[in-house]
Amino acid sequence: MEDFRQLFFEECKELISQLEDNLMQMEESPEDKELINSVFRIMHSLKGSGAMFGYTNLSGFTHKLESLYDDIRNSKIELSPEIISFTIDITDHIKKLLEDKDNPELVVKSKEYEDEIDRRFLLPKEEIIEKPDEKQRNTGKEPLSKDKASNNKLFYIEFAPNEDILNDGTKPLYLLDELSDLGDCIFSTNCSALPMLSELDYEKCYLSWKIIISTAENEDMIKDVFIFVEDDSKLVIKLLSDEDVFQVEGVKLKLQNILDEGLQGFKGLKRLTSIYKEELPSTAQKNVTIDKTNKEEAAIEENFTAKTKDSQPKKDQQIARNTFAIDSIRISSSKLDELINLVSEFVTNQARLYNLSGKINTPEINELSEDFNNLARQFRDIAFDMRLIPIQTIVIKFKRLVRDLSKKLNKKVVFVAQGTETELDKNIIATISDPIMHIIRNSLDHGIESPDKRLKANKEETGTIELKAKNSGAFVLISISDDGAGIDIKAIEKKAIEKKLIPEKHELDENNLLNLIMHPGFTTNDTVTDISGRGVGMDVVKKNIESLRGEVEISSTKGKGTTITIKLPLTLSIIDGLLTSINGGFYILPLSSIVKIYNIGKSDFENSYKNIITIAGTQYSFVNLCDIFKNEKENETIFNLLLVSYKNTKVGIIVNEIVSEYQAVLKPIDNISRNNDIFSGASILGNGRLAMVIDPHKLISNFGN
Amino acid sequence: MSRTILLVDDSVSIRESVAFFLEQEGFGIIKAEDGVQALEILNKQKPDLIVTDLHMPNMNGIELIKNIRKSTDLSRLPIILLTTETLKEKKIEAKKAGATGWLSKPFDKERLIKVINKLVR
Repeated sequence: MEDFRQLFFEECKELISQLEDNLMQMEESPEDKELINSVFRIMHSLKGSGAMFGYTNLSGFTHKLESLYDDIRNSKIELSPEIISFTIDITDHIKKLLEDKDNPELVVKSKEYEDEIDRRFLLPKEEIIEKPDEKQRNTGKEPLSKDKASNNKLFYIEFAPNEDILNDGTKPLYLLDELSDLGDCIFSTNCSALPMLSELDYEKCYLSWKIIISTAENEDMIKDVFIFVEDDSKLVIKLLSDEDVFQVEGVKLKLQNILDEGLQGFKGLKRLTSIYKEELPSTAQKNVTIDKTNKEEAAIEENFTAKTKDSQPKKDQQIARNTFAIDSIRISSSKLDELINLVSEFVTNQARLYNLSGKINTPEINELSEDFNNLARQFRDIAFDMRLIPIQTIVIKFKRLVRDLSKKLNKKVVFVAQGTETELDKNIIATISDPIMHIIRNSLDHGIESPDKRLKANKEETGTIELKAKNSGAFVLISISDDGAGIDIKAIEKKAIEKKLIPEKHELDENNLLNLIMHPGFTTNDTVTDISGRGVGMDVVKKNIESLRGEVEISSTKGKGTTITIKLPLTLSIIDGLLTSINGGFYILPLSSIVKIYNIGKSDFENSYKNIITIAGTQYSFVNLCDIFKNEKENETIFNLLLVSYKNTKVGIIVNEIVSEYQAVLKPIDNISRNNDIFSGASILGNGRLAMVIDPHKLISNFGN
Repeated sequence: MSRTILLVDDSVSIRESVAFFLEQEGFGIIKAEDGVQALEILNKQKPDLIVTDLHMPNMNGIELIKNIRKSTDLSRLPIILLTTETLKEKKIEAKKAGATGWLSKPFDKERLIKVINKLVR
C-alpha cells in the first residue's frame, strides 16, 4: 500500500500543478469551457483518490468544488473572479494538507472551506442532492454489522427478468446471490416458460423467480439489488409479514413447498404467515422445554449450515453456544489421506461416467453425469480444503531456529514472518519445512554478517530474516530474504570452473550463475561449519521442492542480501487440467498456467525462425509438442497454441486438438522415458486410456529457447 | 485459466492499486487511461470483464459502455462501474447504457473481488 501512497502523492502533485496552470489561464479567459471541464475533472480525481488513501478531509471540500464546477459548466452558476481566486487559495491549502493531513488546524480549515463553498457559491438546492448521497453512503457500509436478529421482516418478491437480460452481461444468479446477502431467502424457480430444447435460444433467459426473504433491511435496499434490471423486468416487492415467521419450526419448508407448487398467491401467503405468527415466540419457548433434544439438534444443524446467518432466534443461539462451543474437531491425518484417495477414485469414476454418457447420449444420463461432475468438483474442493493448514504452524519452528542459532553464532538477527495465514496442503507443509529450515540456516550462517562487520558496512547491527507467504492464483509463493552479505557471484563462477561444472569460457549470465549453487554437491564455503554445508545443500532443497511440483528461484545483490523464492502448487493430487491431443495421444496441462488459447494453422509456425510465432501483433517464443511427441503415422491438421505464463513472459505451447477441461487425478510416474522430467505425473482418463500430465515450466526450461 | 480484466481509470494511483489487488487474486490485468484507449485495446483483445471509472477525460465511462454495447461480439461482456459518483440519475443513465454493475469508491476490496468472481465464473 505504501508504494501506492507514493504514487498518489506524485499524482496529486501533477494534478495540483495542472490545476494552478488552469486557474491562471482561467483568469485570462473565463469563457474557455475546456478549462472549466479540466478543473472539474481534477477536483473529481482528487476527491476519488483522496478518499481511497485516507485523505477524507481532502475529499470533503473537493467534492463541493466538483459540484460547483459541474454547475458552472452546465451554466447553472456563472464563473466569477471570486470563485477563481477562492479556488487558488484552496490549491495552496491542498498542498499543505498533503504534507500533514492530520494537522488539527488544517482539518478545521478544510471544514471551513467546505462550509464557505456552500455559503458563498453553491445554489441552495444542492442540499437536496447531498442528502441521498449521505444516506447511500451510510446504508452502504453499515448494514452488515447491524444486529438483524431482532427485527427481521419478511418480503415477498416476484422477479421475472426480460428475456434479453443476458445481453448486458447481467447474470440473474448473481442478483439472487446478492439478495441472499441481505438475509435468509426461499427461492422458487419457475421454469414453465422454458421451450423445447430444439427451440431453445441459449442467449435468452426463460426463468423467473418467486422469493421470500427474511431481512432487517428495508424495501429500498431490496430494490437497490435490482436497480440495474428493474426497468425491463417484472419486479414485485411486497411486505409479507412484520414478524420473522421463518423462525417457527417447519415454516420455511412449508413456504418453500407452497412457492414451488404455486399453491398460493401473495394474499394466501400473507394469510398463512399471519397464522404462523401465532406460534411466535411464546409457543416456541414451550417447544424448547418439551422437545429439547430435537430443538438442540436443529440449533446445531443450523449453526453448522448457516455459519453467517444471523437471523436465528437468540434463544437457539444460546443453546447452541452453551452445549456446543466447539467449532473445530481433530481428525487423524490418515483418515484425511484416505478421504483424498477416495475422492480421487470418485473423480476418476466420474470421468468414466461422463465418457459413457457421451456415448449413450440420452438426456437423463447426461443430466446425471453433469450433476455428478458438479458434485465431484465440490467434493474435491471440500476434501482439499480440509487438508489445508496455515503456514503459521511451521513458522514457530523457524523463529526458534533463528533465536538459538544466532546466539550460537554471536550474531544479532530478528526473524519476521508475513502472510503466515496462507494455507497449504498438509503434506506440502510437512515437506517444505526442512528445505526452508536449510535456507534459513544458510542465511544465518553465510548471509547475515557478524555485528561488527555489519557496522563497518554501514548496516544496522541487527540483521533481518524475513519470511513472506502469499497466494498467487493456484500457487503459493514463499520468499525468504535476508539483508546480509549477499552471494558472491564471482566466487561461484570460480568454484564452478574449478569443479569443472562449467567451462572456463562460458556465456552464463548472473542469474544462471546464481542458480549453480543448486547444482548437486556445490558449496562455496571452504570451511564446513557446524551449521550448514554438511552435505545437505541447496541441491537437496531444489529437489525437495521440485518433488512437490514447485520451483525455487534465487536473487541476490552483493552487500545487500539474498532472497529465495519458492513457488508451490496449492494441492498435490488433483488438478484442474486442459485435456489435449497430440498426434493421437492424450496430454493434460494445468489450467491454472494457461493464459489464452489460439487456433492456429500449420503455416503460422512451420517455417518460423528460432521458434518465434506472431499472434495478434505480439511475438512469442513457442515449444512445439507435436514435434516433440512425433508420430510418423499421424497426419494432424488442427493446431492450437496455448499461451502460458513463464517467469516474466508468456510462451506458447503447440498442441493438436483441445479435448475438454478435465479434473486430473495425478498418479506418480517412474523414470520411464528420457523425457520424463517434463511430466509431473499421469492420469487415467474416463475411457481407460492414459494421459501424461505436462509441467509447462519444466517443458519450457528444457525445450524453450 | 486466468481471467483477464480491462481496468479503465484516469487516476494512476487508483488504477495501479486496483490492478495490484486484482493481480493478487490471479487475474490478468490490461490497463487503460480513458475510454478512447480502452476501445483501442478492445479492438485487439477481448477481456472477460471491464472495470471502469465514470468521469474521465476524452471519453467517460458511460460513453465507453455505449460504444462497447454497439459492437455485437462485446454486447454481453460484463462491465462494472467503479466510481465516486453517487447521483441516482447517473446510476440510471449508466444502467440504460448497458452497465452490469455499480460499485462506489473508495471500494471495498472484498466486495469488488466477490462481484468480479461472480461475473466471470
